[in-house]
Amino acid sequence: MRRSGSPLLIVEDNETDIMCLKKAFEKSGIGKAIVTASNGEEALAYLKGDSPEQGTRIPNLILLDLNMPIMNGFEFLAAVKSDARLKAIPVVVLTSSTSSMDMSASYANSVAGYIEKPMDPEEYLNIVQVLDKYWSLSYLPTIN
Amino acid sequence: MGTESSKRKSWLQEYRWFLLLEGVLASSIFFVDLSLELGVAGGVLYVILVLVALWARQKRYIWGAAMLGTILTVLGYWLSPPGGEVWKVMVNRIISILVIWGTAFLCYLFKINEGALEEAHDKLADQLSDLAKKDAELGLINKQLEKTVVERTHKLQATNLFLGQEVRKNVQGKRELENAHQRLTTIVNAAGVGVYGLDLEGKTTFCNPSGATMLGYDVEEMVGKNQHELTHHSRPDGSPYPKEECFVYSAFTTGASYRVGDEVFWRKDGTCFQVAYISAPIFEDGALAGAVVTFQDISAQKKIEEERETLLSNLEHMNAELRSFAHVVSHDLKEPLRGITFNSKWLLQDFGETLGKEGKEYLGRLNHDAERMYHLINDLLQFAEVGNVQELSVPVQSGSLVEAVVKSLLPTEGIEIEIQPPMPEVVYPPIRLKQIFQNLVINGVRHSGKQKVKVVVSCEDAGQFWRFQVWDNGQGIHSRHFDRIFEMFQSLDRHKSPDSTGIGLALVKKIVEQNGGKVEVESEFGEFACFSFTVPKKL
Repeated sequence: MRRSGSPLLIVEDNETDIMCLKKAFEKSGIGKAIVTASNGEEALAYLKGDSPEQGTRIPNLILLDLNMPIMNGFEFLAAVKSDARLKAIPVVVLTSSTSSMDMSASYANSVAGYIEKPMDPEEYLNIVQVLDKYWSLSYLPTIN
Repeated sequence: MGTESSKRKSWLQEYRWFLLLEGVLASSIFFVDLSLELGVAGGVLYVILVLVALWARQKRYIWGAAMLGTILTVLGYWLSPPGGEVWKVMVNRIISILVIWGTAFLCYLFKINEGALEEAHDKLADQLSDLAKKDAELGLINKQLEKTVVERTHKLQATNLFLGQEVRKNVQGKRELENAHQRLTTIVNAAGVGVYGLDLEGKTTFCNPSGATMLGYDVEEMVGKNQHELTHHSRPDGSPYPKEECFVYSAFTTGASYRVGDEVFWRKDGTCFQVAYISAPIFEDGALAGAVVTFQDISAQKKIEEERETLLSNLEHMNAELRSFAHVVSHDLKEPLRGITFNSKWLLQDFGETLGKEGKEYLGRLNHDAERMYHLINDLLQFAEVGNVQELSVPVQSGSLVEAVVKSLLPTEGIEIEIQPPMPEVVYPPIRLKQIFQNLVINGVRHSGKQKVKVVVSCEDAGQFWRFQVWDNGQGIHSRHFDRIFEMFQSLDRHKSPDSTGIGLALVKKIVEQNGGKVEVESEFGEFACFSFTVPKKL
């Protein structure tokens, strides 16, 4: 299932957060290629592929924000988990929500992890390292 | 017999004397006769004997005396010395004998009379004594009668008295009954509820004015009519309400009381109103005699209830909205805030040199304010959530909780935080208790202004409460601030670190009051400050 060369998919609408993650990946030396989608709909479209010939794209990890316009994180999650081809992709929720209900709902939707966005940008380094440890981001293509 | 023998005895005594006397007399007369000449009628003297014999009770003595006189006369004739003419003598003697016997005869008659008299006298005496006896008896009977009469009279009087009392009681009872009846009627008529009575056929026997008014009828129009058909014939939606299902009727059939709150009565003008009624059976001499129904127009009440329901659900709605609002707001505010913070930090990191000293200062303050805003939003969210979110109270060891709080504050040199035992176990939402202690201890440390900061956490037993105290040796608070410091955004912190949002004490107050306690502050300006809060003891 794992395809090397698949970038990391970050589903996030806040540009600051995206930049944060990118910087963190750079700084930590993991430096992976990142594909971003600014809402669930975009992300789903990306996963499903541009054409039937191309087939679905399977990233090794999806970092998912919950609060997004058009299609939010939960809706995206539901769509992915109900698609036989997509549901095996590990999804880690990365959200600014501090609500325990969101956490329970996420786990109920079979997420692999739930991380609250820190207020200190330096913290993101730790997050990236943890992600690397658990989901072996080394398979992801590096940035040239 | 006794009297006869005693009679005989006395008579014998008399007999002795009598016989003696007769003897003496007879002898005397005989001698006299002898001494006299034959021609003298000496024999006449024997009449004395006869006369004396009168004295004897029995008539035989008269004959006896007469016989004796006769014999003695004859004897005197024989024994007397001769003399006189024979025929004179003979005539003498015969005259004497005749006189004797004539006297005897007369005496006999006399005796008979006397006897008869005596008899009559006796009889009379008897009768008299009888009479006397009878009189006495009568007297006794009379007395008895009198006594009986007196008794009877007394009894009669007593009975009369009793009857009199009974009558009075009766009269009084009647009066009381009338009064009670009057009162009842007054009450029923004055009552603000409708009351009507039904006979066993369901016809109205009476109705009070309030009830009649509520139903739009005159009382006369209702009496005698079948109440169910008149006012209770249909359900609110217009569908017929059969008598057999009616709870008022059930009072007749089952003899039990029913309380109904969700039906309607129909007025004369065809409109209906919601009622609450109670139907109760009436018993007379143990048998079911009808029913009495009390009812109230509850339309107003129902309306109020409905309004209340609406209000409550609105309130619920608003509360829910507020909760999600607070949430969303805090989340949506935090995001751009993060943007500001991160980007300014990166600016500083990556382009700090280019900006120069002043530029760095600007960015520093930018950062500071952004951080402050972050804390503010967090604290506001906390504050909004207290009481709105269902919080579970569990048994918490206050001692260990405070220790954990202190540890997490990472106190540095010069800051001494002491926890005085005993610290009891309380029932509280643990997160909230942690927040209280965090805020109070941090406050105590922050507002010190002294070289050696000392904070003491303790607890005392206050009867139905535990009173926790956080004492610090800090600069204290002027009494004029005592009330204000618990309000939002009031901070006496001069240095204004970013996480000093001014919400801390307000949050503490809210949490404490939500959980049934009170906050207090004691302070001497320049010396110490002591914040205390109470926790109710849960059994």
